[in-house]
Amino acid sequence: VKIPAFGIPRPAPPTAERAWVDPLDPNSYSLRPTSPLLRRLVEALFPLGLVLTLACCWLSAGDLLRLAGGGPGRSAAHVGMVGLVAGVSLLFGLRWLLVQAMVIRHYWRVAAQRPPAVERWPFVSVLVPGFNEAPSIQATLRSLLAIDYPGFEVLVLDDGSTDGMADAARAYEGRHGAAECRVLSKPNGGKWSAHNFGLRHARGELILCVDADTVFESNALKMLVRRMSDPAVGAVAGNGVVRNLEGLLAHCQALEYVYSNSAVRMSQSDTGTVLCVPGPIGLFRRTALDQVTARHGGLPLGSPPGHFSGPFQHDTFCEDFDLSVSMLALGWRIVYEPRAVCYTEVPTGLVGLLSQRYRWTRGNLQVMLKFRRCYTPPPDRHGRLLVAWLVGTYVVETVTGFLLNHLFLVLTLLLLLGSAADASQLAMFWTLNLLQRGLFSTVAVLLHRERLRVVLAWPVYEFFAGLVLGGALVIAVIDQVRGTQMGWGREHRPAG
Amino acid sequence: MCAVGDTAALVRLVAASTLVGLAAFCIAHVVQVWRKRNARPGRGAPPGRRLAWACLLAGATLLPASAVHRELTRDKGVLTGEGLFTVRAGEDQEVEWLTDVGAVVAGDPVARFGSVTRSARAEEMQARLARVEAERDILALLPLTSDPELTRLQQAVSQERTQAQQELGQAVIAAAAADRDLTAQIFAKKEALARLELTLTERRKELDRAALRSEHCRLQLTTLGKLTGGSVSLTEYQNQLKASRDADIELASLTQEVKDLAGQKVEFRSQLDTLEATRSEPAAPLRKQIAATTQRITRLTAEEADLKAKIEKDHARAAKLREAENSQAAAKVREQQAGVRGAVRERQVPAPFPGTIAFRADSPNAVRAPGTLAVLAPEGGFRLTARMTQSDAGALRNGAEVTIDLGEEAAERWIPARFCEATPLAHEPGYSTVQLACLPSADTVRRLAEGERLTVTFAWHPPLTAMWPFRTGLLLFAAGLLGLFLTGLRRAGGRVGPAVVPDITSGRLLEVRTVGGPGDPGEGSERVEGRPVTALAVPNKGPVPRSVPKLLALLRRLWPSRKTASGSDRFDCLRQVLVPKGAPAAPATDVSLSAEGSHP
Repeated sequence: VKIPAFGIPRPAPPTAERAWVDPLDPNSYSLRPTSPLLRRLVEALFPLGLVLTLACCWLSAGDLLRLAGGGPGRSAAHVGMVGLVAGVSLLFGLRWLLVQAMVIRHYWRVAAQRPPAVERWPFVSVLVPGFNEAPSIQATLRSLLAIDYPGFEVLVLDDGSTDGMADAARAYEGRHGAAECRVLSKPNGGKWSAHNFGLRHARGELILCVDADTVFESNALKMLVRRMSDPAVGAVAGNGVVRNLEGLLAHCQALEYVYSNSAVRMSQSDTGTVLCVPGPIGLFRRTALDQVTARHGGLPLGSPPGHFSGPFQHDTFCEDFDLSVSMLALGWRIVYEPRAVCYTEVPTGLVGLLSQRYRWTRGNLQVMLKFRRCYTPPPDRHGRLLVAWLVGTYVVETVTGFLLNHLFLVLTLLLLLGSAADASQLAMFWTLNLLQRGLFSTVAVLLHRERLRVVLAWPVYEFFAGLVLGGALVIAVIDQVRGTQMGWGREHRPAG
Repeated sequence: MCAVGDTAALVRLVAASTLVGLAAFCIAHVVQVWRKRNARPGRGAPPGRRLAWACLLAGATLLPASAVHRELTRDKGVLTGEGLFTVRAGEDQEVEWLTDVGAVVAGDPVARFGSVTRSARAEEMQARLARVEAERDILALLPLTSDPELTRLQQAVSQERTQAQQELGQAVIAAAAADRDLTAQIFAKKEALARLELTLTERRKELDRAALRSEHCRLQLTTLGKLTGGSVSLTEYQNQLKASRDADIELASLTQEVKDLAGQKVEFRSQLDTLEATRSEPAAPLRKQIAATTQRITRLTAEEADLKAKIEKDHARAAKLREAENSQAAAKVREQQAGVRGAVRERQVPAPFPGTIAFRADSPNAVRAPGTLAVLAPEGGFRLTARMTQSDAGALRNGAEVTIDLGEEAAERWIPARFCEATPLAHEPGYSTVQLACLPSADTVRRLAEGERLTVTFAWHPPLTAMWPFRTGLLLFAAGLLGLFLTGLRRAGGRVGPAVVPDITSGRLLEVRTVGGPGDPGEGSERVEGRPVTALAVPNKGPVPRSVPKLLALLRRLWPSRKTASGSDRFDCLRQVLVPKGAPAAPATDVSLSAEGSHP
């Protein structure tokens, strides 16, 4: 395992060897576990997960059919409530079934195959925007400069930091083998403006946007660039892994990241419609960014000096999601590359986590509203897929997930208090659902070579999703409806 | 404190409390983040409005929560059959006839069976009954069986005692005879002595007279002897002399006789003294024998009494034994009679009480023994017992009829039930046991008859208004609404309109939204997207609260009404109440487009 140590706690390798991180053997790059036993296990768990999901759908459909049959003891409220639960469960299960099928398809078609061969490695500009990231910028730069790639530049974009981040970064300024590091400063204007500012100075054909508190595996850039061999691909999303895996909250977030990468990005990548290229690691084609700039770039008149126009928009708090959607709306494909791994920090405190999720949720809502208002998806299959994924992911999954998580909490409470009647059906549904989630967690962790102890957070993940993520969703929706002004805030992060 | 059996409940309660605590912890953090995100220095809502919001939110949470709780919770109960009579077939029985479903009276035949082996067994049992009845009669005629050893001992003692009594009688008789003989001898001696003394006295008197006469004779003889010279003849003298000699002889004879009599008297006296002396001891051996015999008789009498007591006890024991034997025989008779009755009844089953045949097997001969062929239920024999709160019980009492859910496995899942009675639980205040009468389906009756315990659920919910969370939520919601209305009025009256906040944006103007308020320079931006133009938006000023025109617009949309000639409608009066005097008529947005622009 050739992962350079950057002075951060390295994750222990999972049970399978991380074969893809070996840059010396590009032919061995594959998502399939190298251990035959684990490979058989993963490939056996796929159909088992499908069967469990089908069982959940069967139970929900059975409830609906029974309701359709009527009965003297069913009041309208009862029918409505059970119908809602069964309908939501069925919708959730069907969507989950579809997602799993696409994940399996993606696994066999892409992830388990060798990455395509690359004849020419294009020059890449790595944009590292940061505001007061002095504690972590050097570790990030060390990992970036250690990246195994023929030619790239690293642009450190100091967004008006006051903690000496630029000075810290200048220690690495200059040429480092195939890499060149430059430090650029600008007045404070936000991450989006720093990206736009850096884009004006970038010389690369491909633009890698990263966070200033993230460290990378040495082959991450090559993995990303390989996926750019398809000219229709406008961006490639990388795999963000939790760096500070300490405590139950971090484990829950790690499991959530694995879920998000496995269930959402892998299935979206199968249709080339990854809706969100994550901020910590995302490779963009310069051409696509220019098209976005031409279509949507613009600044209000009289903007402050720190604001720069470009593909990154200023009117949402999820500029990565906004940029991804605008690229998809312009017809570009976005894919996911699980083998391009970066390590990012997650909030370890509940307040920081809630604040971060509040910002993400509001940003998502803003992007969705903006999409409805401003973007016009292409009238082809790609456009229909984009709309379907947007609705399926950010409406259906959000609503059904929120409802089901809270129904799970209520059901658990009622079961504990012993006052739930007819709970056997729901309990069976939830048992199957939990089993299915556990199986999928195991598969996702094995596929992404994540640390196996992340799976231990699976039993409490429903509580995490219901209470923490649900709480953030509620206040974000309330504030969005109220039109409350919002700032970026600042989540507490430990020093890198 | 809880018992050991409540450990599981305690664990569940702890887990539920943990979950609630975790939820409260997360909600508290969510609220903290929300407040932090919405913090505006100097623009905090007054405490009354905060309280109103809190009440409104609490009420809005409680109302659906109580509805959800009402829908998710069902009271459970136990369905039981009381006094059911079940007809079952034996292994080798064939059902010849089985009654139909319906009402029957007591004694009506319910089923009739046929079986060769059972008929033979019935005859055998009848013969056995006759035998045990005869044994019972014989036993009644038999004497009691006492202990023979005790009887023999008692007889021996009795004989010995009789013999001793006879010996005693003989000894007493002998002693009396001896006494009588001695007395008779003494009396005889005394009598002889008295006669002797009398004789002796007479003889002494005769002696005296003889002495006198002799004396006299001698005198006379003397006299005559003197006179012999020739006065008295010799003959006379001789006569006299002879008389004197005769007198002397008589005197001597009498003297001798007196002497003899005196000697005889002495002898008699000595004999009498001897008899008198032997009078105290003539029957001493007899008396000793009598005393010994008497003691023996006393001992034998005691022994006999003891034996008699023992024999009495033995007799009582024998009587009890006989009584038990009689009971045993009677029981055997009853057993055989019951067997005979059962054997007879096995062939034809009568209804033991009036009721309704609630279940009848469709194919009686196809039911495998000991399956249920038919079930006879008395009136109101099926009861549903449930534990519920007294308020729910009261609501249930007021309801005419409820539906209970027997579960999916029941052929007829939903059945009606009628409230019968509610009994408050003494040790659980606020709760009652409620009993409902119902008539389940035949399949359910069969399950009940086979001893299955059926837990059923109510398909009935108490009315929402009977639930305290709903009432509390309603109260809080109303209080929150009222509080918001009152505090909104006060805020509207004292509010100052925003200053002119020009803002220049670029983009295609799609809509212009007036936002912002006093002291909030950060707000006032416009939503502009699309093709680049430049717009200058000037928000209105005035003390009209933002919510008033929105509320009026919403009301007008919900209840559209025609405007009058003066341009007013039905909501103008409300607007006059909500909007203070002097405020502008409507918060119209004035926008002026200054210039068109392009991408900067």
